[in-house]
Order: sequence, then C-alpha cells, then structure tokens
Amino acid sequence: MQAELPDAPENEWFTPRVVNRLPERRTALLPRILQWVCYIVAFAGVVCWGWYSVDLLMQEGLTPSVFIALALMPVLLVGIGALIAMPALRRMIADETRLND
Amino acid sequence: MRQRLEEIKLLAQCMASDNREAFSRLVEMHQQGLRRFLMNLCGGDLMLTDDIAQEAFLKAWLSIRQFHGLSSFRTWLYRIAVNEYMSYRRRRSNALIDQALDDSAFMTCSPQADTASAAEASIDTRTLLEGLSETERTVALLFYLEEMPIKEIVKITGITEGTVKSHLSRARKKMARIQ
Repeated sequence: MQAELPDAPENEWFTPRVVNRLPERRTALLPRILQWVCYIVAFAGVVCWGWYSVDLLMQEGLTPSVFIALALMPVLLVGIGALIAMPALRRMIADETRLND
Repeated sequence: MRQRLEEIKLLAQCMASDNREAFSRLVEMHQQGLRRFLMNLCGGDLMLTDDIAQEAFLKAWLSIRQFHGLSSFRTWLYRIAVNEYMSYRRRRSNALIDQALDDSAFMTCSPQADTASAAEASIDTRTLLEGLSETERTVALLFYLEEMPIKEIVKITGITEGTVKSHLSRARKKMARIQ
C-alpha cells in the first residue's frame, strides 16, 4: 500500500499560509493578573480615602490643613493609578482604533 | 532521537512564548506526512486535503498548551486531523464526498501517474480503499501507509484496541474480496 498510494504533491505555500492564519500573540496571564490586582488596590485606596476623610472631618472639622490633605490624597491616588493603568488604556484605545479601521 | 529532541525544543518555544517561527518549523516537519495521509483519506481531493490539514495545524496551535506530551506530537496532530475530517463528513452530504472521489483529480495529483503500471496500481488501491467504511479506511491508512502501531491508532481514533484490530481485519477481508 505504501508503494502504491501517492504522496501529496509538494506545496511551498502550505506552511506560509498556515502561519498567516495563526491568531495574534496571546497575552500572558501574569501581567493581566497583576493589572487586576492594581485595579482592586486602587479601588480599595479610594474607599479608604473616603473613610479617612469622613473620620478626619468629624474629628477636626474643615480646617485648611485638613482641606489640603483631603485634596492631595485623591490626586496622588489618581496619579499612581493612571501610571499603572496607562499601558492597558493605550492598548484598549489601539484595539478600538484597529477594529474601527 | 535527534529529531525528537528538536521537536521537544520547538514545542517548548511555542508553549512558552507563542513562537511562530518554531511552529512553522513544526509544520514543515509534519505537513508532508499529514497531507499524504489526508489526501488518501479524502480520495485524492487536494483542496480538501489542504483545507483539513490547515485547520488541523491551526487547532494544534490554539491548543498547544493542552499538549502534555503523553503521546508524540505527531499522534496528537493526527488525532486533531482525523476529528477535523470526521466533522467535515458530518457537515457535508455523501454526494459531495463521492464527487470529490473523481478519477481525474486523483490521477493528476499523483506523481506516479506518468507510468501506466503505477497508475493502475494506484487505481486498484484506491478502489480497495473505496470499498471500506470511513473508520476502516482511516485505520487501514494509519496502519499500512503511516506504519503506526496499534496503540498510537487507538490514541488517534479514540476507539479501543480490540475494535481497531477488528476494523483492520475487516478491511483486509474486504480488500481481499475486491481483489
């Protein structure tokens, strides 16, 4: 049977066609887990800030120093969160742009 | 042994970092054998052969991390290809398959078709294969053409060893009757 049955003819385009059909590189799992951990920590930070703010206001009232502390904290939180989330945001925007094109 | 080590290295590169270059080398290593098997399973339809072979490689890439190395990569790949072929058969009617078993398609793609005796032998063998059921043809091609041991055929087809042997025995009897 081996001698009698034909071989498939050579096809130099077969491998390139297969490789062209392979989907995009899959994102590794660990960075995505870390990304979500950051989101959760940021959310927890916001909640803690809210709780601390209410506690501070009830203890000290609205003094200038209290006002500055309460204003600075969210700025810091948002700034750190943005730094961490910026690559993911950029990737999302790029994907959206690619899909719309 | 050297080829096996090379294959393990390429598989590790594919799994660890989605290395397309490594996967294209795996495709090169296995595509000729797989296409030969599928072409004889599909009765000489080259377009169908290449479609199913491409789908098999694509599915292998998508589920490469689920390959645990319990069998050889070749066995795993052939299993995917056989499942893909069976899915195709379920989707299509028998009439379309019979149409694919056209003499001229078979003869033009055969490199041995130049010589009359080789062509006759091909036709005879094809006639013998046509008389078999899908499963018998699959098992016979894996055993005689691809020279796979029974245990590998069991892994590829998902049927038990006893059933594989019984299909082979029935295939031999049918082919002897036709001859």
